[in-house]
Amino acid sequence: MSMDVPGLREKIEGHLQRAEGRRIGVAVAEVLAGGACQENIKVELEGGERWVLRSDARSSLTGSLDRARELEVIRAAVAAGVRTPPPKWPATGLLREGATSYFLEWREGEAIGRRVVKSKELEAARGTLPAELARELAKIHGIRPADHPTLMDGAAAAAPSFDPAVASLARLRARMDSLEPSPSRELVHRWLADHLPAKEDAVLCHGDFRTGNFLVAPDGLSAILDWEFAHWGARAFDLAWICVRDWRFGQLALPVGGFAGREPFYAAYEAASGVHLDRARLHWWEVFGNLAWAVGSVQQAHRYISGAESDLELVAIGRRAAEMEFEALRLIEKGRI
Amino acid sequence: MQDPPEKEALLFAIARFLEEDVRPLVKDPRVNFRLLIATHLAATVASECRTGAAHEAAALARLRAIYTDAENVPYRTLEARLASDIRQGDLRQGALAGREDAVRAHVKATLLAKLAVNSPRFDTRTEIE
Repeated sequence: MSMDVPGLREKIEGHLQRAEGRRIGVAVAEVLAGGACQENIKVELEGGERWVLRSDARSSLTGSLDRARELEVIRAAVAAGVRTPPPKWPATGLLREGATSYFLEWREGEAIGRRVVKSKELEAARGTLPAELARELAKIHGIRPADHPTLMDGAAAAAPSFDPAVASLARLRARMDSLEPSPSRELVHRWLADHLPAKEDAVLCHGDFRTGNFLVAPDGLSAILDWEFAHWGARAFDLAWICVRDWRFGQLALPVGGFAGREPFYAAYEAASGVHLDRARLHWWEVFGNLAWAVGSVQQAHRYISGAESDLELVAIGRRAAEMEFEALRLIEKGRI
Repeated sequence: MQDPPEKEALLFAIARFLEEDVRPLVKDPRVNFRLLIATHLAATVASECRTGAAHEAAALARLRAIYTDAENVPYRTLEARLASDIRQGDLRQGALAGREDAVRAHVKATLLAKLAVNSPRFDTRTEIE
């Protein structure tokens, strides 16, 4: 289960020596519980400085960025003032041939979902989180494709004909076509296709903006992490994704990430961005988010079944697709968020 | 043909062993969490052993009520046909015209049967917020 990289410390020291032109000793290099598409290694330098080394995993999910492109997205976010650790010392082939990696400054905080929504120490933080997250999201959505034509093909996303909902639905369709046929997923997709929201301009979407992907400290939001699903899309995608039922970690009555009600979060976003949020549009994207996560969970199981990965959590998650499909149909029946 | 215990009893025994005897000894949080998953999976398969055949028979009966020309067609084939027909277009027209309610009822009943096995604690009420 744990990934042992032979000579890991020496490899990192060699890379830092080349990057900085002097010897930088590594005291600790320890593999952390990883994300889906990358491996994270905690690196402590001899002087006590701490970093996270993020490297491409053996296999990834469709639609996820590799570390090289993720690095460009993070740099754009840092330049926009988003609270996310700046990347440093990019490398290729450091941990595995062809795998890109980079270092992020270590940030303190809790990312484990069930602790973020329940831990007593974070009670005060949960009060300030909705407004803090809304402000960060407004900064992220202020990044426009026209200003970044070479970032993830921003030029195409800036074209007047580009429709984020149509593009997202087409990508989801392609992912569905790689899986077993499913009447429940088709029924949700049918509804989405029949109720497309009016076209809007594309913005930078974080793509996985939810409890579990930001660090929370007792005094509030510490850092936004995990940019691997960033894309040019609809701002409502991110705003709805954090409300997808599975990211409430059991706190169903608190739709925003399992720690807040909807209205304070939406109001804070509207104040920070100056953009009015259409609730019907958010409803469409929450249905979309649930279908996307149903598809994602089946794909996770396939990564195990195909032999590409060996983590028990991945194979187990496939059976949970029914939860997301049920939730999507529940939201459709309800007709609003 | 096998002697007792039944396969469900064996799976529950595995789940109980992992939960009561193994998990308290495992300090690594990553492995500890995966033991919880393994316990859940053993219980899931036990539940599927108990109810899977009845769930699939009920689903097949619903599908054959939708597709009256499909008397001997197996479950997977009919599910694929239904998925394809839903994809074609408006449920009120085309291949499923007049059977929209039966289709929706079948999809919902199938999801409830899956949840009963895989996610028995999932809240299926209409209002959750």
